[in-house]
Amino acid sequence: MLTTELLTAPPCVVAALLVLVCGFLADRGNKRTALVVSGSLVVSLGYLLHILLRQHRWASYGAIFIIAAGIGIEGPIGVSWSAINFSEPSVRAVAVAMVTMTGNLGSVVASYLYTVPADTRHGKASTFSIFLSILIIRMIP
Amino acid sequence: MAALSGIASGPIAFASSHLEDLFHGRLHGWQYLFITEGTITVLLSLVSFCVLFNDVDQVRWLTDEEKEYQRQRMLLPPATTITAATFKTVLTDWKTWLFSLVFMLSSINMTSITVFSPLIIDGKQTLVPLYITSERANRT
Repeated sequence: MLTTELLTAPPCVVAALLVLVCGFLADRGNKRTALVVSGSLVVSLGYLLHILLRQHRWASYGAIFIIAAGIGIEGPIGVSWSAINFSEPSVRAVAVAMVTMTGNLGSVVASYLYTVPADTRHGKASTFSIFLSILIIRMIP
Repeated sequence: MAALSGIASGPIAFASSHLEDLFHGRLHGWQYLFITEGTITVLLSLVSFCVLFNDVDQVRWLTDEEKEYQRQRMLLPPATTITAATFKTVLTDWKTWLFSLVFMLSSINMTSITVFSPLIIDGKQTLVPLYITSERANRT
């Protein structure tokens, strides 16, 4: 229990490193679709493993690394893609603000996700997150 | 950025929960958390006030050529201004809404895992915010 907060740091290291690498890849390599799709797949895999391995504490902790990695892969693309969609600077500025504003509304849902009563091992919340990740994959043309 | 701050916030919360033991519980764990994180923020604001530059000439890592280029760039009048038409262009493009939706869905995943990570790792069900987790950890 005491070490739980210390354990939250390592997955963030993984996510932070992948945000840097994938931000670079998206900009220079122009691999946005591939990154969003593969990132969402990795997130789904992570949540799936988290549900399957929920009885084993350290195994499900490993699954959180996979979730964090996937989030790091798909994270930076959300904003950067909307920026390159428009060439004019003022339109680009408004577009980035719009996407960030509406996108962060998702945080309202996120604050209630793991508070579902009687969801002892976060099965429902994880299933919902898998569903969201698959939805992202389906939406990319 | 959220991931980078996540690296620091966990260990800071962990350390703050130990401060309560150190000072024999004069304040609660979460109060120490506010004090430590607040102090660091105030100190960093003073540092950035002194370190950040006010002018292109003060930037050390730019060459003279780059400084001159930037000065010329700032002299030019802005190419466009934001008007109602700008908003219309943005709001009527279906791609803006698709990007918003993609970002919204991934931000649900991102925020929920960041906010609840102590809870998820712990495997307990009850809603326990970070500061209460540190407090309870001291008691047991």
